Formats: sequence, structure tokens, C-alpha cells
Amino acid sequence: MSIRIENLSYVYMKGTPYEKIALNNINININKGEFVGIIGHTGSGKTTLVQHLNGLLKPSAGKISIDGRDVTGENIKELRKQVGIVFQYPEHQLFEETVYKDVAYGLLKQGLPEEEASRRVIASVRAVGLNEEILAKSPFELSGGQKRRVAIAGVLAMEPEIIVLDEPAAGLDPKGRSDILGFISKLHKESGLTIILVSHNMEDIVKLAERVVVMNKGSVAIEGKPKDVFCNTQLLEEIGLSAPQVTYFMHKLKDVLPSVNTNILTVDEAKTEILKALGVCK
Amino acid sequence: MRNENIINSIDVEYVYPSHFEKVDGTKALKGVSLDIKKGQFVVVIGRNGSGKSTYARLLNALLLPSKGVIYINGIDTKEENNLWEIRKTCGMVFQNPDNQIIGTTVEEDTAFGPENLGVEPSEIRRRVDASLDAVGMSEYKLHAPHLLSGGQKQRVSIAGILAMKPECLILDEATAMLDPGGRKEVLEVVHRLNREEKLTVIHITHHMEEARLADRVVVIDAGRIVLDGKPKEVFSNVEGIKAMGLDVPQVTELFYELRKAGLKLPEDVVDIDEAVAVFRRLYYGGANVNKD
Repeated sequence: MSIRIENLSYVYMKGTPYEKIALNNINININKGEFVGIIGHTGSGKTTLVQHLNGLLKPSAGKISIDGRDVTGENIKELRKQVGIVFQYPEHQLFEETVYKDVAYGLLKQGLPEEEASRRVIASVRAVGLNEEILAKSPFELSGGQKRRVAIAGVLAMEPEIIVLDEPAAGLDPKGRSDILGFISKLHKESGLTIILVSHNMEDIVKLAERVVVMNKGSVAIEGKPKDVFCNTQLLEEIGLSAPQVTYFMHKLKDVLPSVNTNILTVDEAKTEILKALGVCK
Repeated sequence: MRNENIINSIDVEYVYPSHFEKVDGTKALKGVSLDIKKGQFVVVIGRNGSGKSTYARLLNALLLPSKGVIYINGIDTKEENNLWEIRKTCGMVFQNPDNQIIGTTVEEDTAFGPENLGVEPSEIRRRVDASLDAVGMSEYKLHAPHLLSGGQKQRVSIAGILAMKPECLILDEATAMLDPGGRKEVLEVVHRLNREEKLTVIHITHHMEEARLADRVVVIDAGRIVLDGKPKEVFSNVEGIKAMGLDVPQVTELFYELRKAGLKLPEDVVDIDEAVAVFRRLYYGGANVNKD
């Protein structure tokens, strides 16, 4: 499923003293099966943008179409089956007595037969790297990282074709982060889901996204491959973001080793580049 | 000892009560002994569920030790009569800025703490102005807090604590929900307060680059303190830290990887400028390559 966003604008509290233009003439195309990262500082419009993708907000101006069909005209229930959104801190939405019931909740509301629901619950819990033993537990006795995964499984169980994740790793420790991002990456590779990842963590976006959209003050500030975007450290700083520490290091190292490439985003790349510059082969 | 340390914890255990009879609760802390000197900037790191937030809650008597003792300025946190004294001494900022702001304007919110302590109105006015000034939020004093950015909200939360004249500020993942710009704002304020006002700071975080600037880093794992030292000492243990599911600063990891590839580099580099200086000394212009 491809998403086409044309001249999208959104104004909060229009006609009041608090009127605020949250999105200003946004144009983005996302292809089927693509993995797109959206970054921007708090208040840049990232979350407002993704809330348009399944009709939670309606554009003040402009248009969004999914596979050529206008989102605002679409049967909203159908649309929400196709586009799953995992909100920030999704574990706050867990409420059922058992993990099974929580993950199955949306499915049973949709009127799916028990057997089909059960198959999907098991499949999605496995997809987030948990095993079936967890199904009988209360969601409230799980660790933070486990709760987060259960909440994501609830969205996956709806079998959306596009999945939007808003800061899925926020507040988790480094291991929890890499576990969550690991299965997101796996989902993308194995089931060809279209994934939109919203984050202000550059390292995460670098590892996963094929394309990055940087939002600033409601507009698209830069768009491109992670490499091209993140090496522009000056622009990133100007809009309240930052590049990975190792990128800054390589920029400064160029004074000492003029032959190093500064187009570097990960520790591995930096290692290879430095060894090359020093003429040391592995 | 009492003069030098603001916090003395002696063999502290904490067991969360179980909801079911006959089932043992979860032991979140298993014997933590930690002293913190006045004016120190301490960063506490550890995995989710390691017990670090539990420890923070013990420091201002939101929780009381199941075993062991915690003294704040020499006062046992279990002495109920001194509860307010303890909470005044150790102020805490939590993770979610939206859960701790209650006033309808920024200055009203900042005044909430001292009002509850029964401070004189004229003194409250003075403290509110001084605290908002200290966190750089004076020009917002008549704004509605819910319209501020995350970084601004956390700075208002810090001002609210400063207005109670604490000696120790505890940040329990107070930067976790902020973007890089907001994190920088908050950390700059906290470091300045530590430097200029000699405020003791205990900062719990998952961001290793924030740990780099501390006087001391304490690593908690499975309810125990496993590493404790200067950032350089703690992060030089790259394998140990990674095995615990934590990270080290990227330059420290890079140096570790380059050492494995045969370069002779120091183990304790955590900072970019320091790392560049090492290269300048050893490999200026790519000469003097060490190939063993």
C-alpha cells in the first residue's frame, strides 16, 4: 500500500487565541514496503502528521490518499484495519485481565471467529519475541519492555498493511531498545510491511530506516537517505536534533587524519574508516 | 561522616509487597550500601527493573527500606516526624512532565511546594522568582504550563523543587521523554546548579552520554550495585557493561573495537575531544602507524 500526502496542512484550535499551525503544506510519498523514519524535535508536528494516516485527524487543507483512495472519504473502519498505529507509551492502553484477552480485544470487536482470533494472537505475540506462556498472565505483572511488546502485538494482530510506530523504544534500557527495534526490522524484512517509525533517537533511525523525513515547525525540513540527512550536523543542530556521537567524532578527527570520510553514522563504519585511513588492514 | 555525606545507605533491601497472600513479593533491592557526598553529581544507570527507581524512591521516603537504613543528613528516613524535613532535603523530578505539574500558571506551580511548607508569602515570592530565574523560565511565569515544551515543563518541575530549597535533586529518568534539545536544556540547568549552588544531584538515566559528565557513575543490576566509580573507570569496562544490557558512549566503544583490531589506544576515553586528542598524539597525519 502506498501513501500519498499532498499539500497537507493542519491547524489546531482554529479561530481561537490558541490557534496553531501544526502542519504546513506537507508533501510526502511513501511506497509499498518502504521503511521510513520521521524525526523532529518535540512540537515539530510528527505526531500530528501520523494521526492523519488513519483518520484520527482530518486535514485542514490538502489530501491524503492510500492506494489512490482519499482517506477522508474512506470507510474509517476499513482504513483502521489497514493502517495500524502504535502510540507513544502504548502499554498505558493495556487493560484486560490476561495478555491473551488484551491482544484479542480488537479482533473480537471486529467479529472475527474465535479460532482465527486465537491464531492471530499467537502469531503476533511470537512476532514481538514473546512466547505463548505469557498469554495467561496479567499484563500488569509484566516488565516495562514486555508490556510494550504486548501492546504492539495488539496492533499487529489486526494484520495491518501499514504500521506506524510513535517512539516505540522511548524509556526502555539499551537492551530493551535493541530488542524492540530488532523485531520491527524483522517484521519489515520478512513480511514486507510498510513501516513508519517516528523517533527522536538518531541511532535508531540510522540502523533501520531506508529513508528519513526530518520535520521542523510543521514542515518537512530535509528528506533523504539516512546518510545524506545525518551528515548535515549543522542543520540538525539548528533544529534541535543531533547526530550520533561518532559522527561528531569523525568530523573532528578529520583535522588529525585528513583522509577520513566524515560520512559515518555507526561505530562499525567509523572503525573501518579509521583502519583504512591508517593503512591497517584487518 | 554526617558533615561530608548527604546520603548514607547501609545494606538496604526493599521488597515490594505481594498482592497475594503466601506469595513472596519481589525483592527489588538486595543490600545496597551507598554514600553520596554533598555537592556530588552522581549518575545512576541500570536496566529496566534493576532497582534504580526503587532506590530513588527510598531517598525521599516515598518508600521505606524493608531492611537496612538510609540516613539523609543524618536523619533516618523511617522517622515519621522528620518526613517533611527529608522531602524538603531531597526533591525528586519524575519521568513524565505531565504528571507533576498542577498549577494553572508556571509561577503558581512553582509556589506549590513552599506554600505547603508554610513559607511566608513574601518569601515565597522571592523563592519563586529566584527559582524560575535559575532554570531560565522567568519570562514564562504567567504562561499555562500545559502549553510548554517537554524540556520547559521539566525545568518548571525543577524550579518547583528549588523553591523548597533542597540540598539534593533527584532526577528519576527526567530526561527520558525529551528530545535531544530538551535534554540539553535540562542538563545544562542541572549542571549549572551543581557547579554554582553546590546542589547534590542524583540523575537516573538510560542515556550514556549524559553519564559521561558526572563526577561518579553507579551501575545497579538486579538490585545490587555492580560498578561504582568515575565515568572513565566505569565505562572502560566495555564488555561488563554490554553484558548487563547497557551501552557505553560511542567513542568508548569505537576505541574498544579499534583496540581489538590491534591499535594501541587507551581504555578510558569517553569524550569526543579527548578521543581526538589521543589521535593527534599518536597518529597525526596518519604517520607513526602501529601495526601490531
